[in-house]
Amino acid sequence: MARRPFIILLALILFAPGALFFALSVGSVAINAEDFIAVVLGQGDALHSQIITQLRLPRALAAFTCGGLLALAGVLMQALLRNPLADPYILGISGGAAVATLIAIMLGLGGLLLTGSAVLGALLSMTLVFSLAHGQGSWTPTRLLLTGVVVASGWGAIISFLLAIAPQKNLHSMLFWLMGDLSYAKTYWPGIISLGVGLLGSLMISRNLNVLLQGDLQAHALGVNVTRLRLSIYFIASLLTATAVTIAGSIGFIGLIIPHLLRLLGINDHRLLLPCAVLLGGTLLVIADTAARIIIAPQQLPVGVITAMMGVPVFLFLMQRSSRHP
Amino acid sequence: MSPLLVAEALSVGIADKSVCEQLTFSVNAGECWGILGINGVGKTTLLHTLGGLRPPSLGNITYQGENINAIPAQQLAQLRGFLFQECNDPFSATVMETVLIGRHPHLKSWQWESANDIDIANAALAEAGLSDLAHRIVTTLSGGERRRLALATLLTQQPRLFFLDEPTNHLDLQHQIQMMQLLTQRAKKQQAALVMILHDINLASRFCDQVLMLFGAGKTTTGPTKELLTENTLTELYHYPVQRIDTNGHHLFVPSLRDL
Repeated sequence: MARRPFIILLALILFAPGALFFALSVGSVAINAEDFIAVVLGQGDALHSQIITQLRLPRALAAFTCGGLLALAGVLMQALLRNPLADPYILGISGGAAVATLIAIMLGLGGLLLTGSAVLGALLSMTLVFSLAHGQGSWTPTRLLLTGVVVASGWGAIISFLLAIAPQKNLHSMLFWLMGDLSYAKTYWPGIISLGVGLLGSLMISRNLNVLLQGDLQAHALGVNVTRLRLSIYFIASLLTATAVTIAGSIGFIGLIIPHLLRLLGINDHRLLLPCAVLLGGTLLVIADTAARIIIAPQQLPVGVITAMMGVPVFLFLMQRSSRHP
Repeated sequence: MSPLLVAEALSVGIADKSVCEQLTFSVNAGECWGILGINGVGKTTLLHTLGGLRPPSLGNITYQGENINAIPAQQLAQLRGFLFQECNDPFSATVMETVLIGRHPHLKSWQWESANDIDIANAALAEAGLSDLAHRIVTTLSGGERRRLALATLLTQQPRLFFLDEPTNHLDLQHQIQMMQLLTQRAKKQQAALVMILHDINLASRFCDQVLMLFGAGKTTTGPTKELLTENTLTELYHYPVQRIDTNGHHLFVPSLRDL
């Protein structure tokens, strides 16, 4: 077996805590390594300890979880649809969540009710796409993709409509939510649990994913129950996306570019691609969110802006590259 | 010993079109079968049915005496393998990674490929003449190389029954003959059997022991290649006059030259 993918996995395992340390130490109050260790040992300054444990740590963990969820869902969606352009949002899950959340914001709801509406919207969209794509016909990647894309553009139209009729006072928070924002992410445990369960579940079918990329017929011939596998991937990926969307709105590009970055590094085997995607996606989102906090401090940028600004050039570079190596 | 494959009173149809009716035949170890017929007559559908990828309308298929419906999917995949008409690669993977996919049915769900699996894959790559390309990315291969990689993947799977859909697609003359020799020798040596769709009558007459002809509308005939391949049957089969040319005691079949 080639050794390089394992070395990359190891590097990513070491890199993730580094990014978390970076996120915990920078900001309007800078905390150096010495102070940081003091806080970890419980002997630090009370202000430092409060900033780390109550402000920066929950946010950094939420960012890591969210990035991991999106990257994992991206790998799964690309395998499900056998399409390198697929991302976690392509089947309209974030659109459904966004519509529900925007309505909730307009109604003046907040806190848990916002999260609840996002969950409801995501589940509604997931069920809608699933039942429409199922229809009477067979459940092919193309049919699923078309259904999802059409439903997603339907949500897009409703989102524009809501923004057009929204009262001025709500518009700012609605736009922030749409661009993806981690500043309200306070509870990270549900995200971490679903990331763990999702990763474990997808690792159990990871070699089947390799086989599925060879096409439905070949997968069937090699003993894979293609219909059942597709259903599992659809539900795992959708639930991961729904969780990510409820934590931080729709943060773009992580789910699309992380799988491709790893493939460019030579990681094609899903048994390594899945854990690497979680680590790289989490790490990059922690860094992007930290940048979003400090670039125009004391004001904050929505993290979705940063990921898109990083994502667009990287993605164009990838497209350029793949057109040269067909 | 019971035959590797028995089709019993098999009826297969696509929508309201009949591919075969009450078809009965058996494939023994070491044999090579050719399926001949015009485009759209249902050759691929029949091949997929024989391999258990879709159910027949009527009739039974048994492998070594056991009904294929009773064989679990993973065990079935250890017993029979496919070379499909086309393969496409939306994502990058190395040649080695692709060929190792053939080991999938032999591994448990958490198991990684062992040194033995990698030896099997390397041997298959060598047989397909791809050893030098093991680290190449599949999307950079030529059509013929990709075809040989699909063959190597099938060899790595080590089935007893090979179902091949136009195996010589994309291959040049030399590689066509090499692939046919490799497969037929493997069938003889390892007591395996081949069932393949062919469009080249001369490859069929040279390598196949038995042929199965699909005339359309459910009409079929099976029998030894030497008996069935005649000007008359082939003319009826292809709806075009076929002429036999004899050379060095061998028969060659070509589209009729008489009107030229």
